[in-house]
Amino acid sequence: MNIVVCLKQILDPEIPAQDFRIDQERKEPTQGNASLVISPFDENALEVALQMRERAGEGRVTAISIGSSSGTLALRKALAVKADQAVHVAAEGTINSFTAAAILGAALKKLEFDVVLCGRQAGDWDFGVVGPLLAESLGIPCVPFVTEASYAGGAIQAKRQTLDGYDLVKAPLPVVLTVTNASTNNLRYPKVKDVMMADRKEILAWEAATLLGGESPDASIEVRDLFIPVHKVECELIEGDNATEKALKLARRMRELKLV
Amino acid sequence: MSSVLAFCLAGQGGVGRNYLGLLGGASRIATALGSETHAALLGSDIDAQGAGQELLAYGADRVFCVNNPLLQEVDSDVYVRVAEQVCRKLQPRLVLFLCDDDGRALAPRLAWRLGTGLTTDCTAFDVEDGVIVALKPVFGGKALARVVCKSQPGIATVRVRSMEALARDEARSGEITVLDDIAVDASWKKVEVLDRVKEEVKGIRLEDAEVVVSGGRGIGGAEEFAALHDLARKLGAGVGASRAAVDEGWVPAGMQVGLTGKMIGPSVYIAVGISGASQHIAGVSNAKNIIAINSDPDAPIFRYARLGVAEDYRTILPALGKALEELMKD
Ligand SMILES: Cc1cc2nc3c(=O)[nH]c(=O)nc-3n(C[C@H](O)[C@H](O)[C@H](O)COP(=O)(O)OP(=O)(O)OC[C@H]3O[C@@H](n4cnc5c(N)ncnc54)[C@H](O)[C@@H]3O)c2cc1C
Repeated sequence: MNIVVCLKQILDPEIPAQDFRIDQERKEPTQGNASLVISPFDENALEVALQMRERAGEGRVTAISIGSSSGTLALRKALAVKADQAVHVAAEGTINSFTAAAILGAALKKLEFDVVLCGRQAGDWDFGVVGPLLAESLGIPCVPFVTEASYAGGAIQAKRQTLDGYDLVKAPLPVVLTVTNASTNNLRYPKVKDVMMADRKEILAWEAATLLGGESPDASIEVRDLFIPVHKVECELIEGDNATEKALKLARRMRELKLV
Repeated sequence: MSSVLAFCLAGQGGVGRNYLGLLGGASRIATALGSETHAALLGSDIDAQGAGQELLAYGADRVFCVNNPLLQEVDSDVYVRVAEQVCRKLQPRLVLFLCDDDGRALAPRLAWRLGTGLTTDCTAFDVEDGVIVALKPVFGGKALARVVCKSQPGIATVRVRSMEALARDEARSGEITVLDDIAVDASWKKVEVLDRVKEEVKGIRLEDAEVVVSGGRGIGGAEEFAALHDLARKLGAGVGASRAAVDEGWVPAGMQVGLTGKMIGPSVYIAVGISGASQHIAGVSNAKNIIAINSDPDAPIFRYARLGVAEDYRTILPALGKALEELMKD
C-alpha cells in the first residue's frame, strides 16, 4: 500500500493575536518571532498515515511538501518519525489552494499511491479546500474529517467525525482522506537517533513549474486586502484576598449583570 | 435576471435552522446586486411544497428542488455532480453553501468542476460597484481578508451563525420548481457507511445552550471535567471544550468549540483553563458575555472576557457553584 501525505509548512498558528503582524504590501503576515511548523492538521494526517502502515504491516509513506527551496523542515520531521520517502516541490511566491492542488495532482501522477492524506485545513489561510480539490483533479473520491483509517481487503476503512460521534466508512482505492484532530492522532515524537538519521536522508527535489508543464491553473480569487480586526472588550478582573472571596464576588457580579 | 443561489443540503432531514441564516445572507447580497435569491433544495423524500414555502417565507424568490432517493445521505461524490448540473442549468452569479461539514466537503469540488474560484468560511459580504467582496477570517481569526472572485459563478461557504435569518413572512410568495431533469446515478456513490456511532452527550446540547461552561488544557484531566459538569448542572448550562482538551482525550470531539469545532452563540460563555487562542475564540464570537477563569493573569482569554478571575479554577469552581446556587434562590 502506498500512502502519500501532504504537508504544508506554515508560520506557527499558535502565536498570540497580540504578536501577529501583517505586511500590507505582500498581503502576508510577517514572521516576527514565529517559528515554522507543520500545519497542525497535516501533523494529524501524518500520524494517521504512520498508523495505517503499522496496522497493515506493510506499505510506504511518502511525505510531500510544496514551498520555497528552504522549506524542508516539515519533510525532515516526517522522515524523523519514519516516513519512507520525502518529496519537496519547489515553488516560489504565494501558492493558492488551486495551484497547490494542481501541483500535488501532477506530482501524484509521478508517484504510486493508493491513499492520499491531507489535513482538513491549513492553519494559515484556513481555506480547507486542497483535499477535496485534489480528489477532483485526480477524479477519485474524497472522505473528509477522518480521524483514523486502516487498509482492509483492498479498501479503506475510516472513522469519519460527525457532529455527535463518527461514521465508520468504507472507501475504494485510490482515495483522498482529509484528517481532523482526535486524541488518537496526535503526531508521535521522533527518537533522537531517528532525527539524526533523517538529516542525512535524501529529499527528492522536484520543480512545480516542470510538473505543471507550463499550465498554471487560475484560482480566480484575489485577496484585495488583509487587515487585523480590532476588538475591544474591557475585562473586569475580580480582585480579592483569596480564591473563595473572588468566587463569591464573581457570583455576585454575574448576578448583578443578569448573566445568570 | 442574475441570481444568488443558496444550496440547502437536506439529505434525509428537513431544512435546518442554520440554512435560514444562509438564506438571509443570500437575500441581502441579492438585494445589493439587484438579483434574485434562489434556493436549491437537495435531498430525498422532500416535501417540495412544504419545505419550499418555508424557504420562500424566509427570503427565497424561487426554490428549486431535486428530490431523489439517492440523495438520502449528503455524500459529496454524489452531491457534487448534482450541484454541478443545477449550477449549469441556473447559471447563478454567486453560489453559497453553509460552512458546515457538508458544505466544506462539497463547495471546493464544485468550484473545481465549474472552473471557478471560491472563498470559504466567509462572515460577511459587501457589494462594491457591483463587485461582490467576501470577508473571510484567516490565520485563525487573527486577520481578516477581503476576497473577490474573478470568475463566475463565485462560490463561497458561509460561517455558521454569521448571518441573520430574515423575519419569517408567510405573505412572501414565489415559484417552487421541482427539477426532474437532473440525473442522479447510483454508480457515483463510492463511499459506504458501515456504521453510525453516536457519542452520548451529558446534559444540554452545546448548540442550544444559553450558558456554556467550557474547559481547556488547564483542567488537567478527564475526571477533572466533573467540576465543570457540576457547575453546568447548577446553571442549566451545556459543557464545551477546547481543542487541547479533545486532543488529550479528556472529552469527545463533539464538545470542541472553535474554528474547526462548534460555532456557538450562548449569552454566557465561561472559559475555564482555556488560554484564548484565536482559533478557539472564533467559535464564540457570537457569545454575548465571556467569563474567564485562568490562573495566568496574562492569558489572552482576558482580552475577550467581560469578567475574569485570575486563579486556579480548582479553588474557584466549587465556591462559585455554591455561591451562584445561593444567589439564584433569591
Ligand atoms: C487550523 C486550526 C484550527 C483550530 N481549531 C480549534 C478549535 O476549533 N477549537 C479550539 O479550541 N482550538 C483550535 N485550535 C487550537 C488552538 O490554536 C489552541 O491550540 C487551543 O485552543 C488551545 O487550547 P487551550 O486553551 O485549552 O490550551 P492552552 O493554550 O494550553 O491553555 C491552557 C490554559 O489553562 C490555564 N491553566 C492551567 N492550569 C490552570 C488551572 N489550574 N486553573 C486555571 N487555569 C489554568 C493556562 O494558564 C493556560 O492559559 C486550532 C488550531 C489550528 C491551527
